[in-house]
Amino acid sequence: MFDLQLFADTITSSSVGNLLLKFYDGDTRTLPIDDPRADLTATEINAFVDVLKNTQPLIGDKAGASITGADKFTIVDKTDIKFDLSN
Amino acid sequence: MATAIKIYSTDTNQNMVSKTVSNANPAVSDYVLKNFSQQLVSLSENSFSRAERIDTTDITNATETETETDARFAFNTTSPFASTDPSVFRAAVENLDSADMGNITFQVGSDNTAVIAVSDLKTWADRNTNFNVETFANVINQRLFNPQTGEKLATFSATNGAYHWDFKNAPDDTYIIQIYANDSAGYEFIDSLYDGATDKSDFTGSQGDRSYSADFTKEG
Repeated sequence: MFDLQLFADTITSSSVGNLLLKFYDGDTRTLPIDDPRADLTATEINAFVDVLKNTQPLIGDKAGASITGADKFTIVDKTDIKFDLSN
Repeated sequence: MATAIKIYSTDTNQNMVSKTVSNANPAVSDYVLKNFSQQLVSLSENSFSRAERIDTTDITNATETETETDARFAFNTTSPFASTDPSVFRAAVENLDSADMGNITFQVGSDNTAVIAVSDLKTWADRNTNFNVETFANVINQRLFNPQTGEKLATFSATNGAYHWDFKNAPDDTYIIQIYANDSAGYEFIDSLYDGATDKSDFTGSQGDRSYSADFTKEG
């Protein structure tokens, strides 16, 4: 019975890259990058952060402060299970 | 008030997906937001399709404006005050990007006079209906520090049209920093921010129907 229910469920895998941005007022904020490229390098992330610092497309959540840099970038693998509740 | 960007891209299954990034800077141009959107998507497996502000303004085809090209300065890469060589200041100017601040330029004369020119502020403010002086101040402040020492050179604040600069770590005495504001009629000299000898100066000025007042205090 359980196996039949599992077959009706949908299991998908994905990953997200979390770039933790720092702001002038000390605020931080995570900018998610959905399905990051497998060949992504730290150099590319740093270049992207430089663009953010130089052009300031985003502002902090608290006081609207400017981006001063990034603290870390982590990739998280996710498994989503959509349960079939029709039974 | 912050805005948001909605970014559309195509995933590896050729499905169109969208993503909303909140707290976009309302003071920056469509081009800056589009460029950010493209670069963000380029870090993923997806392909960029288009981007729009949350108010549905399509910014996919936004182009870099002359303002953004001309008004570049970069206190955050090289401290112009760390050297008495005007060319250092000029190099910093060329690396700065003030696309989100309207027309702001830095100039250095042969006498080491550094000029900060703020132009078309009113026009720029009018163009950006969500103009936020606090954001404007934050963007300037983000660049006003010595990257070698991390020392903050000055604090700039703007409230209701009154702009205030307070220098905590005075720049090299050989520099004279002056601020100008102008509209389409031309530049209007406002005042010296710091002349190396005067601890404090006050100014009032006006530009069109916008008036300025500020006091500059050298601290420490």
